[in-house]
Amino acid sequence: MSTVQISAHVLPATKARLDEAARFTGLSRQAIVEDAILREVAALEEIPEEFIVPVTISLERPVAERLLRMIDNPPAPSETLRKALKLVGVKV
Amino acid sequence: MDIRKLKKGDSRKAFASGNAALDDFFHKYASQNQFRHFIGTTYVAFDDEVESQDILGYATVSAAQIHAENLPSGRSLPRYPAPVLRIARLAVSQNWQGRGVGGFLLAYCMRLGLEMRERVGCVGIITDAKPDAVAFYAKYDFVTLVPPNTPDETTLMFAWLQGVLDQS
Repeated sequence: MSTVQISAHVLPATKARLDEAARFTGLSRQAIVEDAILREVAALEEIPEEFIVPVTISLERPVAERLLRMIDNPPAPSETLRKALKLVGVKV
Repeated sequence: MDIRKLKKGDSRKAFASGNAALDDFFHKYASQNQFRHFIGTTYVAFDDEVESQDILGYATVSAAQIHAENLPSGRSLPRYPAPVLRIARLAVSQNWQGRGVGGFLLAYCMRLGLEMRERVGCVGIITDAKPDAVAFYAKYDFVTLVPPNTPDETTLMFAWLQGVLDQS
């Protein structure tokens, strides 16, 4: 399989760990680096569950009924909110 | 200070809010969310007075819906599911905390909520506030919808949009 050369600046400590891992495992530095890149890229392509925000929020019935009453009776915005909204171009 | 959508070329690695989970999300997954999976959009506040446009803070939002549990009879509650804008993440760089960046981002999210309401419908803004962020959201008129069961849990908070537009 043909390969291409890449170069990268890393911390001396990272290079030392790579060298140590190569000695310890008998693997080539190229194999370790290539495997690490492929693992990291695959991990980045998959979003971990804790970073996925559910699009549906389920409320118990009493809370849902209270929310409807709240939506129908909005309070006047506070002075703090008014000032913040003005900064982003919303007239209040 | 100004706000715009995250760009693919933005340098995110240097951003540090002091919260490892929020920083990790921004460094690794904000771009994935936005440009690959289309499940959330991140807006960044930046210093428009310097050429480098250092990122001062970010907010990630997504469209969501509130579902009401049905009665045992199976009867559903009218007006549900209700569309909302969800603030999934909001963080401010350590160097800029306490200088209004968070409020700026939050107000911008409300503006997005207003635009969403006009274009596709939206009854308000929802967020899961971490314990140390509840007071911040309350300052901007968010109210508790579902309190935490333990001190470590998040608080589900809601903010209106009606009160703002009705007076504009």
